[in-house]
Amino acid sequence: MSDTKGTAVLSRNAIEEILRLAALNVYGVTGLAPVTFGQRFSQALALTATPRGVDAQIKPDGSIEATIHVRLQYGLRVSEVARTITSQVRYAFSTMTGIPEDQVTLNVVVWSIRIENQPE
Amino acid sequence: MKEIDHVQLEALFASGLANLETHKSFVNSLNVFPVPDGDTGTNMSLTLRTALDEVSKTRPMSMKEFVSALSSGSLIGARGNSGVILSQIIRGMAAAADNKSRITTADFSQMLSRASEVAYKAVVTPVEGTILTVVRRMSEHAGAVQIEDFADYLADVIKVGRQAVTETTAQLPALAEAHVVDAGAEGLVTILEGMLMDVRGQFVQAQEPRPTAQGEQQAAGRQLTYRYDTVVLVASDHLPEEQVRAKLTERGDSLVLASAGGLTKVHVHTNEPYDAIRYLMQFAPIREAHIEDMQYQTDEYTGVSTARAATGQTEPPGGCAGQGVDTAYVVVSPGPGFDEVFRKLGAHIIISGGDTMNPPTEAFVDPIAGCDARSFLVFPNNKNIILAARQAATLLDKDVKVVESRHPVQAIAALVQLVSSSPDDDRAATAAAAVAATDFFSVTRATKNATVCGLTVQQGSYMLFVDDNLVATGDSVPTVLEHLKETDLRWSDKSLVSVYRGAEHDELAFDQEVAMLTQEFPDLEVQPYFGGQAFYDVVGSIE
Repeated sequence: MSDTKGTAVLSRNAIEEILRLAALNVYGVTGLAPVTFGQRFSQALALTATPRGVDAQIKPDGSIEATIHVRLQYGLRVSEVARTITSQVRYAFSTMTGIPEDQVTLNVVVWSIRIENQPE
Repeated sequence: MKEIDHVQLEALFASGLANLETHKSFVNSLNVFPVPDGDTGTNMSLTLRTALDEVSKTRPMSMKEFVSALSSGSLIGARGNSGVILSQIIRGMAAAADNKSRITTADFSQMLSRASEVAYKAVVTPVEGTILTVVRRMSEHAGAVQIEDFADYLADVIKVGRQAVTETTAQLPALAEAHVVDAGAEGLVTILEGMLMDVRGQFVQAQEPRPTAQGEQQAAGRQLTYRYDTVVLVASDHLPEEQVRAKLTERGDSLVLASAGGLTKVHVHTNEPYDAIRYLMQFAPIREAHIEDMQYQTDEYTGVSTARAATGQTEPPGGCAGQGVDTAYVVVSPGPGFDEVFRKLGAHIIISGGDTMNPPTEAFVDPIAGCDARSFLVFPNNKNIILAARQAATLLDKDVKVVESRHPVQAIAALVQLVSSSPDDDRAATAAAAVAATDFFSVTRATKNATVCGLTVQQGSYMLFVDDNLVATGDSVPTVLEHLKETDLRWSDKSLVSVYRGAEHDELAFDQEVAMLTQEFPDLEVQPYFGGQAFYDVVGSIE
């Protein structure tokens, strides 16, 4: 992002963090899921506490494409929750960063469904 | 009343739905933005409606069957975030009532408590000031009181619910800035209030009745035998039922008689409503009477023959006007005037939708799947619908391109361009260029006090939006339209201003506004049309 008096740079890490927090605020999302095999492995061994959950790519034209890996609560209409995730997360992200909503592409991967009070 | 069975519980939910439908627009208006583009009320009532439709489909014989149908129906029908939360509340209530045959107020308290529990499970960090807070507060209170009579009990629980709804304003900063309560919370308490009205024997009938998807199809193009839907409230609860039935069905059908608390509601379809009223007046004074012309309604629905986004209803199968064409144009239209314009410009599939009624993805998928055009060009015509359209494009195994039009007037500009394009042109590119070159504006009234883009808006005042940005507010349509020429558009590139009159906007006033614009823009051509859109008095394009 730039304007006449300077430039702000958002790192991929910061982008992922914002998306992660926004996703966790969506009704129906009970947690995030590991993105890569390595993460799945290290989480299984309890080496990492919070799974990364978001994989963001910054395109050469400055737009952003991200995939959010989520765990959902059992008994919800998955399509509606996924729709809410994309719209709410996109909105929250745009509001926080000033990057227009149409520059943000979000994909949602439902990694697992949590049944009642099962521990994560 | 101290106990209710599953039939009465169904009636309770049905009244809750009717009450919510009556107050739907109000709940929709509780959006944090002052334009009526929220759809919480719509989403919640569609969710509950699907749940109850599922119940009537399964014809439950027991409480267990009833709650299971209600629960699965609400899951299937969940629409939007508020609908998803409502489906969880219903699922929780259902789970607690599963093993009962009749329900006491104590059982109802358990249902609320379970509802709160289930609803909270699906969120990691609950925020205070939402529907969740309100369901929890009501369930906590309900668990602490012992009132056996259902009417007194519900009244007491609702009092706490109302209080909790009022407090949401202070709990969430966004709500505080807009001076509103949380829409979902309001919707939930509205449902309970409908239930209370039912327990008290007050009739709850939705003020905006909507025919079901099925009814709509059956009604298509039909001449009705009996034209007037007549509802009469007679001040007596012991009419000679047999006699009244015999008399009214002589020249009418769809007769329903319901008595309670010193009143009888008589509903009948007839061609002589005054005869029915005169006849009923022999028995007791008339408290109220409503007469509606169903033929007019039928023509309205079938005449426009467009999709009703609410039901996912699209044109009847085979009704796609684009069979076999090279590129079929799919447009979302906000009203009958626009439908007409789009049809004249050669749109093949018209889907109803707009600010408060965002058509779901299926509304695009179904008609496109049923049309054998070689390719499709979709105009979502609202920034909130673009996503659904794109999603539909990815779901379909067809050549579907979405042109990112944010307003119907942009699609009109694009269709005009396409009419004159040659078959070899890249239509998607032509359309996108036309859309990009067209600015749009709209005038609407604020539904509440708010601060937007640094401007303070009073409830009821008019607002002018240009390209989705609020640029001016004022006391009347002409005062805000005057600000149009001050906006920062590339006026030198523009040659045409098209203005469309809204469904509720006065024709004379509109003529004067058009005359005013003509004076203000001597270099541009000003072209008036009837748009028939809801909420917006005037919309227009500058191209």
